[in-house]
Amino acid sequence: MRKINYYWRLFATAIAFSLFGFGGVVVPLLALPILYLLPGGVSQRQIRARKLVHWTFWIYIHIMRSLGILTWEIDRLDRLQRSGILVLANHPTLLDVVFLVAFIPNADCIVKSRLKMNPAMRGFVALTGYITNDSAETMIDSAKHSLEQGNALIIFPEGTRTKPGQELSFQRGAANIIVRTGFIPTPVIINCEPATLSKQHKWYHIPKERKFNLSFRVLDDIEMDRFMALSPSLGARHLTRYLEDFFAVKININEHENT
Amino acid sequence: MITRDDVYQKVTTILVDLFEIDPDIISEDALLYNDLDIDSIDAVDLVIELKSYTGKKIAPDDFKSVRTVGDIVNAVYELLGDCP
Repeated sequence: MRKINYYWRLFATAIAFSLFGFGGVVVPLLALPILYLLPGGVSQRQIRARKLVHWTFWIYIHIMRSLGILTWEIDRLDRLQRSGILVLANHPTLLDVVFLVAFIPNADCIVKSRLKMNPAMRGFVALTGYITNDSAETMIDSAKHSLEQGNALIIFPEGTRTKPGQELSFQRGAANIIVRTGFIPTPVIINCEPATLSKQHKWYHIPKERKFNLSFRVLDDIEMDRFMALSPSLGARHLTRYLEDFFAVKININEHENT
Repeated sequence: MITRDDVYQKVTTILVDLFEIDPDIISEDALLYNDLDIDSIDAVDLVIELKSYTGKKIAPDDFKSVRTVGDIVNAVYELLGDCP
């Protein structure tokens, strides 16, 4: 019985991956003419595109759950659905951004500029105007603009998925955005149990025994006063180190609760 | 008369004050990005600081080819040398 369940999940995972690739090409292609025909300017179009991606990903995570691949849990979802917040999350799996966007209707994201080359993501990225991380200065300006418009801006301070077994290492971009825009960060701790879809896993490395569970813990906003009191370049350095420690501790607590 | 060594000392001080870089790892050949962990956002802050030190406008082109601490010192020293 266990064997059957394993092979079913493997098969379903293959379906889910194909579906994502297919949807990532077809949904933007179908949406493109409609979005361009509707009245309104660029920002109107991007808002609609973000809503579309939000619902697309919402449907997608429910399909994955129905297929028996995974489950998820989130507490204090309402805290993520506020406007003008910086959502800082650790990045254990490939699905983190899919879930966060599915949870947050007005989500904007900072994504790796390489996603513009990824066939399954480039359509979404182009339509939504998600911010890419290619130039630090424009990234901060774009982030500020997005937050002022009332978006919830999702940032993965690691810049890429966590390397399992290595110390958590954050890039300074997230902290720079925080100290230079003054918007308050809301931390989200993501935990995947059993581990799968990390940087070291191929798509077919699924958990042997059971479907995996993704948990999202939304924590209290981080107090920024002492970092804002410093010069921006120092504030960003101190804040980066603080965030690394903060996340490392919180992720650890999570793991112990689950064992 | 400001010597090149004065400029080097000043640049070192700025790097330490601005970014809390360990003075021991600062040298003429230290690479800004790789050795001192100064990214492009930091570079903007650094240019602003150097502007107030030299009292001169700094064109972004002046710092385009800057890779090491020595390069900064040279660029700043040249700027200062321009004055009569």
